[in-house]
Amino acid sequence: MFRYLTINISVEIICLLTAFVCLKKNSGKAWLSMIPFLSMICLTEFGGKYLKMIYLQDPVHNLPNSWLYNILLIFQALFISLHFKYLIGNYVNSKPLIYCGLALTTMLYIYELYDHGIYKYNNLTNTVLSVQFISYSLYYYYNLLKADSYVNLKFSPGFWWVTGILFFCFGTIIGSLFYYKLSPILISSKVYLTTYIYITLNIILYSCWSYSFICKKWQMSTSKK
Amino acid sequence: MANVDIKEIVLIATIIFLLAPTFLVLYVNLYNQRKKRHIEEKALLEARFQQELLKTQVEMQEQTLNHISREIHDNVTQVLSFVKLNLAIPANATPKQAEQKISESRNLVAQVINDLRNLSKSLSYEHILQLGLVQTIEIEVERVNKSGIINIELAVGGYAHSLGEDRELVLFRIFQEGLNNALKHSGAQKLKVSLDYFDHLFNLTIHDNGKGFLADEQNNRGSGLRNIVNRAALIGAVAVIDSAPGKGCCIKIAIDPFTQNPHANGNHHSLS
Repeated sequence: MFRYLTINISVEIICLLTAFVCLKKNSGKAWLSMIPFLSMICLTEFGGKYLKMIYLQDPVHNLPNSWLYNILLIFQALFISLHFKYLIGNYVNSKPLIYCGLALTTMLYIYELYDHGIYKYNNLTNTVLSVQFISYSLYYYYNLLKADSYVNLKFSPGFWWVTGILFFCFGTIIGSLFYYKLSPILISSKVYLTTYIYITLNIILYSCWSYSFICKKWQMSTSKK
Repeated sequence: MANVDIKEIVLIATIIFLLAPTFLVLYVNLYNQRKKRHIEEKALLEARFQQELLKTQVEMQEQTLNHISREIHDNVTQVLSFVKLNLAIPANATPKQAEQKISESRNLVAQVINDLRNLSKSLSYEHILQLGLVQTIEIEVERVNKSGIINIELAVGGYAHSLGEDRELVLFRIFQEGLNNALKHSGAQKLKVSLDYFDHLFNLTIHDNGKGFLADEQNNRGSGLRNIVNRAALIGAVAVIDSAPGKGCCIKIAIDPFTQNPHANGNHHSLS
Protein backbone atom coordinates (compact mmCIF):
# COMPACT_ATOMS: atom_id res chain seq x y z
CA MET A 1 0.00 0.00 0.00
CA PHE A 2 2.70 2.49 1.02
CA ARG A 3 4.61 2.05 -2.21
CA TYR A 4 1.65 3.68 -3.93
CA LEU A 5 1.94 6.72 -1.70
CA THR A 6 4.20 8.95 -3.77
CA ILE A 7 4.63 12.64 -2.97
CA ASN A 8 2.15 13.55 -5.71
CA ILE A 9 -0.54 11.19 -4.44
CA SER A 10 0.04 12.30 -0.83
CA VAL A 11 -0.42 15.96 -1.75
CA GLU A 12 -3.56 15.14 -3.73
CA ILE A 13 -5.04 13.10 -0.88
CA ILE A 14 -4.35 15.94 1.58
CA CYS A 15 -6.10 18.33 -0.79
CA LEU A 16 -9.06 15.94 -1.14
CA LEU A 17 -9.34 15.62 2.64
CA THR A 18 -9.22 19.42 3.01
CA ALA A 19 -12.02 19.69 0.44
CA PHE A 20 -14.06 17.11 2.38
CA VAL A 21 -13.60 19.02 5.63
CA CYS A 22 -14.04 22.57 4.30
CA LEU A 23 -16.59 22.35 1.51
CA LYS A 24 -20.19 21.92 2.62
CA LYS A 25 -23.50 21.94 0.80
CA ASN A 26 -23.85 25.69 1.12
CA SER A 27 -20.48 26.26 -0.61
CA GLY A 28 -22.25 25.98 -3.97
CA LYS A 29 -22.19 23.38 -6.71
CA ALA A 30 -19.05 24.72 -8.36
CA TRP A 31 -16.97 24.31 -5.22
CA LEU A 32 -18.58 21.01 -4.25
CA SER A 33 -17.69 19.60 -7.67
CA MET A 34 -14.05 19.77 -6.54
CA ILE A 35 -14.65 16.77 -4.26
CA PRO A 36 -15.57 14.26 -7.02
CA PHE A 37 -12.91 15.79 -9.25
CA LEU A 38 -10.15 15.39 -6.66
CA SER A 39 -11.39 11.88 -5.88
CA MET A 40 -11.12 11.08 -9.57
CA ILE A 41 -7.55 12.45 -9.65
CA CYS A 42 -6.54 10.37 -6.64
CA LEU A 43 -8.03 7.19 -8.12
CA THR A 44 -6.34 7.88 -11.46
CA GLU A 45 -3.01 8.43 -9.73
CA PHE A 46 -3.36 5.12 -7.85
CA GLY A 47 -4.37 3.36 -11.05
CA GLY A 48 -1.59 5.05 -12.98
CA LYS A 49 0.99 4.02 -10.43
CA TYR A 50 -0.25 0.41 -10.51
CA LEU A 51 -0.23 0.27 -14.32
CA LYS A 52 3.25 1.78 -14.41
CA MET A 53 4.58 -0.85 -12.03
CA ILE A 54 3.09 -3.64 -14.12
CA TYR A 55 4.45 -2.07 -17.30
CA LEU A 56 7.94 -1.72 -15.87
CA GLN A 57 7.90 -5.38 -14.83
CA ASP A 58 6.94 -6.60 -18.32
CA PRO A 59 7.03 -3.84 -20.96
CA VAL A 60 6.53 -6.31 -23.80
CA HIS A 61 3.14 -7.65 -22.70
CA ASN A 62 1.76 -4.58 -20.91
CA LEU A 63 0.83 -1.07 -21.99
CA PRO A 64 1.95 2.21 -20.38
CA ASN A 65 -0.58 4.16 -18.29
CA SER A 66 -1.11 7.05 -20.76
CA TRP A 67 -4.63 5.94 -21.70
CA LEU A 68 -5.73 6.41 -18.09
CA TYR A 69 -4.40 9.99 -18.05
CA ASN A 70 -6.04 10.59 -21.42
CA ILE A 71 -9.37 9.78 -19.79
CA LEU A 72 -8.55 12.04 -16.84
CA LEU A 73 -7.81 14.84 -19.32
CA ILE A 74 -11.51 14.91 -20.28
CA PHE A 75 -12.57 15.43 -16.68
CA GLN A 76 -9.81 17.97 -16.10
CA ALA A 77 -11.03 20.03 -19.03
CA LEU A 78 -14.65 19.77 -17.88
CA PHE A 79 -14.32 20.40 -14.15
CA ILE A 80 -11.71 23.16 -14.35
CA SER A 81 -13.47 24.94 -17.22
CA LEU A 82 -16.79 24.83 -15.40
CA HIS A 83 -15.18 26.17 -12.24
CA PHE A 84 -13.70 29.02 -14.28
CA LYS A 85 -17.16 29.59 -15.74
CA TYR A 86 -18.46 30.05 -12.22
CA LEU A 87 -15.58 32.30 -11.07
CA ILE A 88 -15.50 34.57 -14.13
CA GLY A 89 -19.30 34.44 -14.21
CA ASN A 90 -19.31 36.43 -10.97
CA TYR A 91 -18.17 39.42 -13.04
CA VAL A 92 -19.19 38.90 -16.67
CA ASN A 93 -21.04 36.41 -18.84
CA SER A 94 -18.44 33.66 -19.12
CA LYS A 95 -20.47 31.10 -21.04
CA PRO A 96 -19.33 31.98 -24.61
CA LEU A 97 -15.65 31.95 -23.62
CA ILE A 98 -15.77 28.69 -21.70
CA TYR A 99 -17.94 26.84 -24.23
CA CYS A 100 -15.66 27.93 -27.10
CA GLY A 101 -12.66 26.70 -25.12
CA LEU A 102 -14.36 23.36 -24.48
CA ALA A 103 -15.26 23.02 -28.16
CA LEU A 104 -11.63 23.62 -29.14
CA THR A 105 -10.41 21.09 -26.57
CA THR A 106 -12.90 18.50 -27.84
CA MET A 107 -11.75 18.96 -31.44
CA LEU A 108 -8.07 18.65 -30.50
CA TYR A 109 -8.75 15.64 -28.32
CA ILE A 110 -10.60 13.80 -31.09
CA TYR A 111 -7.90 14.76 -33.58
CA GLU A 112 -5.16 13.37 -31.33
CA LEU A 113 -7.08 10.17 -30.64
CA TYR A 114 -7.53 9.77 -34.38
CA ASP A 115 -3.86 10.59 -34.97
CA HIS A 116 -2.12 8.29 -32.50
CA GLY A 117 -4.77 6.38 -30.58
CA ILE A 118 -5.58 6.36 -26.88
CA TYR A 119 -2.38 4.66 -25.69
CA LYS A 120 -0.21 7.69 -26.33
CA TYR A 121 -0.69 10.76 -24.14
CA ASN A 122 -2.55 13.71 -25.75
CA ASN A 123 0.23 16.24 -25.28
CA LEU A 124 -1.12 18.83 -27.71
CA THR A 125 -4.54 18.87 -26.03
CA ASN A 126 -2.89 19.18 -22.65
CA THR A 127 -0.70 22.10 -23.77
CA VAL A 128 -3.56 23.96 -25.46
CA LEU A 129 -5.72 23.34 -22.39
CA SER A 130 -2.98 24.87 -20.23
CA VAL A 131 -2.86 27.94 -22.50
CA GLN A 132 -6.65 28.22 -22.19
CA PHE A 133 -6.49 27.99 -18.40
CA ILE A 134 -3.76 30.66 -18.26
CA SER A 135 -5.95 32.92 -20.41
CA TYR A 136 -8.94 32.27 -18.14
CA SER A 137 -6.77 33.01 -15.09
CA LEU A 138 -5.59 36.31 -16.55
CA TYR A 139 -9.14 37.21 -17.56
CA TYR A 140 -10.31 36.41 -14.03
CA TYR A 141 -7.57 38.67 -12.54
CA TYR A 142 -8.52 41.41 -14.99
CA ASN A 143 -12.17 41.26 -13.93
CA LEU A 144 -11.25 41.03 -10.26
CA LEU A 145 -9.21 44.23 -10.51
CA LYS A 146 -11.73 45.97 -12.75
CA ALA A 147 -14.64 45.34 -10.38
CA ASP A 148 -15.74 48.26 -8.21
CA SER A 149 -15.73 46.27 -5.00
CA TYR A 150 -12.56 45.48 -3.09
CA VAL A 151 -11.69 41.84 -2.35
CA ASN A 152 -9.12 40.94 0.29
CA LEU A 153 -6.96 38.58 -1.76
CA LYS A 154 -5.42 36.94 1.30
CA PHE A 155 -8.76 35.33 2.07
CA SER A 156 -10.27 35.06 -1.40
CA PRO A 157 -10.99 31.41 -2.32
CA GLY A 158 -11.37 32.22 -6.01
CA PHE A 159 -8.04 34.04 -6.17
CA TRP A 160 -6.08 31.17 -4.58
CA TRP A 161 -7.79 28.55 -6.71
CA VAL A 162 -6.91 30.49 -9.88
CA THR A 163 -3.37 31.19 -8.65
CA GLY A 164 -2.78 27.44 -8.20
CA ILE A 165 -3.95 26.79 -11.76
CA LEU A 166 -1.82 29.64 -13.11
CA PHE A 167 1.40 28.32 -11.56
CA PHE A 168 0.63 24.77 -12.61
CA CYS A 169 -0.23 25.65 -16.20
CA PHE A 170 2.78 27.94 -16.63
CA GLY A 171 4.94 25.07 -15.43
CA THR A 172 3.15 22.54 -17.63
CA ILE A 173 3.60 24.65 -20.75
CA ILE A 174 7.26 25.35 -20.15
CA GLY A 175 7.74 21.68 -19.21
CA SER A 176 6.09 20.60 -22.44
CA LEU A 177 8.04 23.06 -24.58
CA PHE A 178 11.40 21.97 -23.18
CA TYR A 179 10.38 18.34 -22.68
CA TYR A 180 12.93 16.90 -25.10
CA LYS A 181 15.74 18.93 -23.50
CA LEU A 182 14.68 18.24 -19.93
CA SER A 183 13.44 14.64 -20.05
CA PRO A 184 16.83 12.93 -20.53
CA ILE A 185 18.36 14.73 -17.54
CA LEU A 186 18.76 12.48 -14.55
CA ILE A 187 19.04 14.03 -11.09
CA SER A 188 19.92 10.75 -9.39
CA SER A 189 20.43 7.28 -10.84
CA LYS A 190 16.68 6.69 -11.35
CA VAL A 191 14.89 10.03 -10.95
CA TYR A 192 14.51 12.42 -13.85
CA LEU A 193 14.53 16.21 -13.57
CA THR A 194 11.02 16.41 -15.03
CA THR A 195 9.76 14.31 -12.13
CA TYR A 196 11.00 16.93 -9.67
CA ILE A 197 9.50 19.71 -11.73
CA TYR A 198 6.09 18.06 -11.84
CA ILE A 199 6.22 17.25 -8.14
CA THR A 200 6.97 20.93 -7.39
CA LEU A 201 4.12 22.05 -9.63
CA ASN A 202 1.71 19.57 -8.03
CA ILE A 203 2.69 20.75 -4.56
CA ILE A 204 2.07 24.38 -5.55
CA LEU A 205 -1.27 23.55 -7.23
CA TYR A 206 -2.71 21.45 -4.44
CA SER A 207 -1.40 23.73 -1.68
CA CYS A 208 -3.12 26.70 -3.32
CA TRP A 209 -6.30 24.68 -3.80
CA SER A 210 -6.26 23.41 -0.21
CA TYR A 211 -5.84 26.97 1.04
CA SER A 212 -8.65 28.15 -1.25
CA PHE A 213 -10.95 25.51 0.29
CA ILE A 214 -9.98 26.74 3.76
CA CYS A 215 -10.71 30.32 2.66
CA LYS A 216 -14.07 29.15 1.34
CA LYS A 217 -14.87 27.61 4.72
CA TRP A 218 -13.89 30.89 6.46
CA GLN A 219 -15.99 32.81 4.02
CA MET A 220 -19.00 30.60 4.62
CA SER A 221 -18.65 30.82 8.41
CA THR A 222 -18.25 34.63 8.23
CA SER A 223 -21.30 35.08 6.01
CA LYS A 224 -23.36 32.89 8.39
CA LYS A 225 -22.65 35.28 11.26
CA MET B 1 30.85 18.57 -13.18
CA ALA B 2 27.66 17.01 -14.59
CA ASN B 3 26.10 17.32 -11.15
CA VAL B 4 26.86 21.06 -11.08
CA ASP B 5 25.31 21.48 -14.54
CA ILE B 6 22.16 19.64 -13.47
CA LYS B 7 21.87 21.81 -10.38
CA GLU B 8 22.17 24.92 -12.54
CA ILE B 9 19.49 23.64 -14.89
CA VAL B 10 17.21 22.82 -11.96
CA LEU B 11 17.73 26.29 -10.59
CA ILE B 12 17.10 28.04 -13.92
CA ALA B 13 14.08 25.86 -14.67
CA THR B 14 12.59 26.55 -11.25
CA ILE B 15 13.16 30.28 -11.70
CA ILE B 16 11.53 30.26 -15.13
CA PHE B 17 8.65 28.13 -13.90
CA LEU B 18 7.92 30.27 -10.89
CA LEU B 19 9.06 33.78 -11.69
CA ALA B 20 6.51 34.77 -14.33
CA PRO B 21 3.38 33.78 -12.40
CA THR B 22 4.93 35.07 -9.16
CA PHE B 23 5.40 38.52 -10.67
CA LEU B 24 1.92 38.38 -12.06
CA VAL B 25 0.37 37.47 -8.72
CA LEU B 26 2.43 40.16 -6.96
CA TYR B 27 1.27 42.72 -9.49
CA VAL B 28 -2.37 41.72 -9.01
CA ASN B 29 -1.92 42.03 -5.26
CA LEU B 30 -0.24 45.43 -5.55
CA TYR B 31 -2.94 46.75 -7.86
CA ASN B 32 -5.59 45.41 -5.51
CA GLN B 33 -4.03 47.29 -2.59
CA ARG B 34 -4.09 50.48 -4.64
CA LYS B 35 -7.72 49.82 -5.46
CA LYS B 36 -8.44 49.48 -1.75
CA ARG B 37 -6.78 52.85 -1.03
CA HIS B 38 -8.68 54.43 -3.91
CA ILE B 39 -12.01 53.08 -2.62
CA GLU B 40 -11.24 54.39 0.87
CA GLU B 41 -10.30 57.84 -0.45
CA LYS B 42 -13.43 57.91 -2.59
CA ALA B 43 -15.59 57.04 0.42
CA LEU B 44 -13.89 59.81 2.42
CA LEU B 45 -14.50 62.37 -0.32
CA GLU B 46 -18.08 61.19 -0.67
CA ALA B 47 -18.61 61.65 3.07
CA ARG B 48 -17.06 65.14 2.93
CA PHE B 49 -19.23 66.02 -0.04
CA GLN B 50 -22.36 64.88 1.78
CA GLN B 51 -21.30 66.90 4.83
CA GLU B 52 -20.77 70.02 2.75
CA LEU B 53 -24.07 69.47 1.00
CA LEU B 54 -25.83 69.14 4.33
CA LYS B 55 -24.08 72.28 5.56
CA THR B 56 -25.20 74.09 2.44
CA GLN B 57 -28.79 72.96 2.93
CA VAL B 58 -28.74 74.08 6.56
CA GLU B 59 -27.30 77.47 5.58
CA MET B 60 -29.98 77.85 2.94
CA GLN B 61 -32.68 76.97 5.43
CA GLU B 62 -31.26 79.50 7.87
CA GLN B 63 -31.18 82.16 5.21
CA THR B 64 -34.74 81.35 4.17
CA LEU B 65 -35.91 81.58 7.78
CA ASN B 66 -34.12 84.91 8.21
CA HIS B 67 -35.70 86.17 5.06
CA ILE B 68 -39.17 85.03 6.21
CA SER B 69 -38.62 86.56 9.63
CA ARG B 70 -37.55 89.89 8.06
CA GLU B 71 -40.48 89.87 5.66
CA ILE B 72 -42.96 89.17 8.45
CA HIS B 73 -41.46 91.84 10.69
CA ASP B 74 -40.90 94.57 8.09
CA ASN B 75 -43.81 93.97 5.78
CA VAL B 76 -46.65 91.75 6.94
CA THR B 77 -46.79 92.96 10.55
CA GLN B 78 -46.63 96.62 9.44
CA VAL B 79 -49.39 96.26 6.90
CA LEU B 80 -51.61 94.26 9.25
CA SER B 81 -51.10 96.85 12.01
CA PHE B 82 -52.21 99.49 9.53
CA VAL B 83 -55.24 97.37 8.63
CA LYS B 84 -56.05 97.04 12.34
CA LEU B 85 -55.89 100.81 12.77
CA ASN B 86 -57.90 101.28 9.61
CA LEU B 87 -60.67 99.01 10.80
CA ALA B 88 -61.00 100.84 14.10
CA ILE B 89 -63.68 103.02 12.49
CA PRO B 90 -64.88 105.77 14.76
CA ALA B 91 -68.55 105.64 15.77
CA ASN B 92 -69.31 108.93 14.07
CA ALA B 93 -67.87 107.90 10.69
CA THR B 94 -70.25 108.13 7.75
CA PRO B 95 -71.10 104.94 5.79
CA LYS B 96 -69.08 106.32 2.89
CA GLN B 97 -66.03 106.86 5.09
CA ALA B 98 -66.45 103.38 6.60
CA GLU B 99 -66.79 101.85 3.14
CA GLN B 100 -63.63 103.64 2.01
CA LYS B 101 -61.71 102.37 5.07
CA ILE B 102 -62.95 98.80 4.53
CA SER B 103 -62.04 98.92 0.86
CA GLU B 104 -58.57 100.24 1.74
CA SER B 105 -58.17 97.49 4.31
CA ARG B 106 -59.26 94.83 1.80
CA ASN B 107 -56.63 96.03 -0.63
CA LEU B 108 -54.01 95.92 2.10
CA VAL B 109 -55.04 92.41 3.16
CA ALA B 110 -54.90 91.33 -0.50
CA GLN B 111 -51.38 92.76 -0.70
CA VAL B 112 -50.38 90.85 2.45
CA ILE B 113 -51.82 87.62 1.04
CA ASN B 114 -49.87 88.18 -2.14
CA ASP B 115 -46.68 88.90 -0.21
CA LEU B 116 -47.16 85.79 1.93
CA ARG B 117 -47.71 83.71 -1.20
CA ASN B 118 -44.48 85.01 -2.68
CA LEU B 119 -42.75 84.35 0.59
CA SER B 120 -43.91 80.76 0.70
CA LYS B 121 -42.54 80.26 -2.79
CA SER B 122 -39.22 81.82 -2.07
CA LEU B 123 -35.93 80.06 -1.80
CA SER B 124 -36.73 76.77 -0.15
CA TYR B 125 -34.49 73.81 -0.94
CA GLU B 126 -37.39 71.90 -2.48
CA HIS B 127 -38.10 74.91 -4.60
CA ILE B 128 -34.75 74.68 -6.36
CA LEU B 129 -35.32 70.98 -7.00
CA GLN B 130 -38.75 71.71 -8.44
CA LEU B 131 -38.06 74.84 -10.47
CA GLY B 132 -34.46 74.36 -11.46
CA LEU B 133 -31.54 76.76 -11.22
CA VAL B 134 -32.59 79.35 -13.82
CA GLN B 135 -36.10 79.91 -12.49
CA THR B 136 -34.96 80.00 -8.87
CA ILE B 137 -32.34 82.63 -9.69
CA GLU B 138 -34.95 84.57 -11.68
CA ILE B 139 -37.26 84.63 -8.65
CA GLU B 140 -34.42 85.72 -6.38
CA VAL B 141 -33.39 88.45 -8.85
CA GLU B 142 -36.97 89.68 -9.05
CA ARG B 143 -37.23 89.77 -5.26
CA VAL B 144 -33.99 91.74 -4.86
CA ASN B 145 -34.87 94.11 -7.72
CA LYS B 146 -38.23 94.81 -6.08
CA SER B 147 -36.48 95.82 -2.86
CA GLY B 148 -34.57 98.48 -4.79
CA ILE B 149 -31.32 97.86 -2.88
CA ILE B 150 -29.45 96.89 -6.03
CA ASN B 151 -30.26 96.47 -9.69
CA ILE B 152 -29.60 92.99 -11.02
CA GLU B 153 -29.45 92.15 -14.71
CA LEU B 154 -29.93 88.49 -15.48
CA ALA B 155 -28.92 86.94 -18.81
CA VAL B 156 -29.36 83.29 -19.75
CA GLY B 157 -27.47 82.06 -22.81
CA GLY B 158 -27.80 78.75 -24.62
CA TYR B 159 -30.28 75.96 -23.99
CA ALA B 160 -30.91 75.79 -20.22
CA HIS B 161 -30.94 72.22 -18.96
CA SER B 162 -30.63 70.50 -15.60
CA LEU B 163 -27.10 70.11 -14.24
CA GLY B 164 -28.20 67.70 -11.52
CA GLU B 165 -29.98 68.49 -8.25
CA ASP B 166 -26.90 68.56 -6.03
CA ARG B 167 -24.91 70.68 -8.45
CA GLU B 168 -27.75 73.16 -8.95
CA LEU B 169 -28.17 73.50 -5.21
CA VAL B 170 -24.46 74.25 -4.77
CA LEU B 171 -24.47 76.64 -7.73
CA PHE B 172 -27.45 78.50 -6.31
CA ARG B 173 -25.67 78.72 -2.98
CA ILE B 174 -22.63 80.17 -4.76
CA PHE B 175 -24.89 82.71 -6.44
CA GLN B 176 -26.37 83.67 -3.05
CA GLU B 177 -22.90 83.97 -1.54
CA GLY B 178 -21.81 86.23 -4.42
CA LEU B 179 -24.97 88.31 -4.06
CA ASN B 180 -24.49 88.67 -0.30
CA ASN B 181 -20.87 89.74 -0.81
CA ALA B 182 -21.96 92.37 -3.32
CA LEU B 183 -24.69 93.66 -1.02
CA LYS B 184 -22.65 93.69 2.17
CA HIS B 185 -19.15 94.70 1.11
CA SER B 186 -18.98 96.12 -2.41
CA GLY B 187 -21.38 99.05 -2.25
CA ALA B 188 -22.34 98.16 -5.83
CA GLN B 189 -25.36 99.68 -7.58
CA LYS B 190 -25.49 97.15 -10.40
CA LEU B 191 -24.97 93.43 -10.60
CA LYS B 192 -24.78 91.41 -13.79
CA VAL B 193 -25.55 87.72 -13.53
CA SER B 194 -25.18 85.47 -16.54
CA LEU B 195 -25.84 81.78 -16.95
CA ASP B 196 -24.32 80.34 -20.12
CA TYR B 197 -25.14 76.83 -21.21
CA PHE B 198 -22.86 75.20 -23.78
CA ASP B 199 -22.67 71.55 -24.88
CA HIS B 200 -19.74 70.69 -22.61
CA LEU B 201 -19.55 73.75 -20.41
CA PHE B 202 -21.69 75.74 -18.03
CA ASN B 203 -20.65 79.22 -16.86
CA LEU B 204 -22.07 81.23 -14.01
CA THR B 205 -20.77 84.80 -13.90
CA ILE B 206 -21.56 87.35 -11.19
CA HIS B 207 -20.13 90.79 -11.91
CA ASP B 208 -20.69 93.85 -9.68
CA ASN B 209 -19.66 97.47 -10.20
CA GLY B 210 -18.62 97.96 -6.57
CA LYS B 211 -15.41 99.22 -5.03
CA GLY B 212 -13.49 95.96 -5.64
CA PHE B 213 -10.42 94.79 -3.75
CA LEU B 214 -6.84 93.68 -4.30
CA ALA B 215 -6.25 90.09 -5.30
CA ASP B 216 -3.94 89.66 -2.27
CA GLU B 217 -6.78 90.62 0.06
CA GLN B 218 -8.92 87.73 -1.11
CA ASN B 219 -7.69 85.32 1.50
CA ASN B 220 -8.41 87.80 4.27
CA ARG B 221 -11.92 88.68 3.17
CA GLY B 222 -13.75 86.25 5.41
CA SER B 223 -15.11 82.89 4.57
CA GLY B 224 -17.44 84.05 1.77
CA LEU B 225 -15.02 83.91 -1.15
CA ARG B 226 -13.25 80.89 0.26
CA ASN B 227 -16.62 79.12 0.47
CA ILE B 228 -17.30 79.92 -3.16
CA VAL B 229 -14.02 78.34 -4.26
CA ASN B 230 -14.42 75.28 -2.04
CA ARG B 231 -18.00 74.70 -3.07
CA ALA B 232 -17.13 75.03 -6.73
CA ALA B 233 -14.38 72.44 -6.30
CA LEU B 234 -16.87 70.16 -4.57
CA ILE B 235 -18.99 69.86 -7.70
CA GLY B 236 -15.96 69.61 -9.97
CA ALA B 237 -16.20 73.26 -11.06
CA VAL B 238 -13.50 75.90 -11.29
CA ALA B 239 -14.02 79.24 -9.58
CA VAL B 240 -12.09 82.29 -10.73
CA ILE B 241 -12.47 85.49 -8.70
CA ASP B 242 -11.18 88.58 -10.41
CA SER B 243 -11.13 91.98 -8.73
CA ALA B 244 -9.19 95.22 -8.48
CA PRO B 245 -9.81 98.42 -6.46
CA GLY B 246 -12.46 100.52 -8.17
CA LYS B 247 -13.17 97.91 -10.80
CA GLY B 248 -15.76 95.77 -9.05
CA CYS B 249 -15.58 92.05 -8.63
CA CYS B 250 -16.20 89.26 -11.09
CA ILE B 251 -16.85 85.69 -9.98
CA LYS B 252 -16.75 83.07 -12.73
CA ILE B 253 -17.77 79.48 -12.16
CA ALA B 254 -17.10 77.00 -14.96
CA ILE B 255 -18.21 73.39 -14.92
CA ASP B 256 -18.29 70.54 -17.36
CA PRO B 257 -21.82 69.09 -16.95
CA PHE B 258 -20.56 65.63 -17.91
CA THR B 259 -18.03 65.45 -15.06
CA GLN B 260 -18.78 62.15 -13.39
CA ASN B 261 -16.95 62.76 -10.13
CA PRO B 262 -18.46 65.89 -8.63
CA HIS B 263 -16.90 65.58 -5.19
CA ALA B 264 -13.38 64.99 -6.48
CA ASN B 265 -10.63 67.38 -5.64
CA GLY B 266 -12.41 68.73 -2.58
CA ASN B 267 -9.39 70.72 -1.39
CA HIS B 268 -8.92 72.39 -4.71
CA HIS B 269 -8.23 76.12 -4.49
CA SER B 270 -8.34 77.91 -7.75
CA LEU B 271 -8.30 81.53 -6.69
CA SER B 272 -6.43 83.44 -9.29
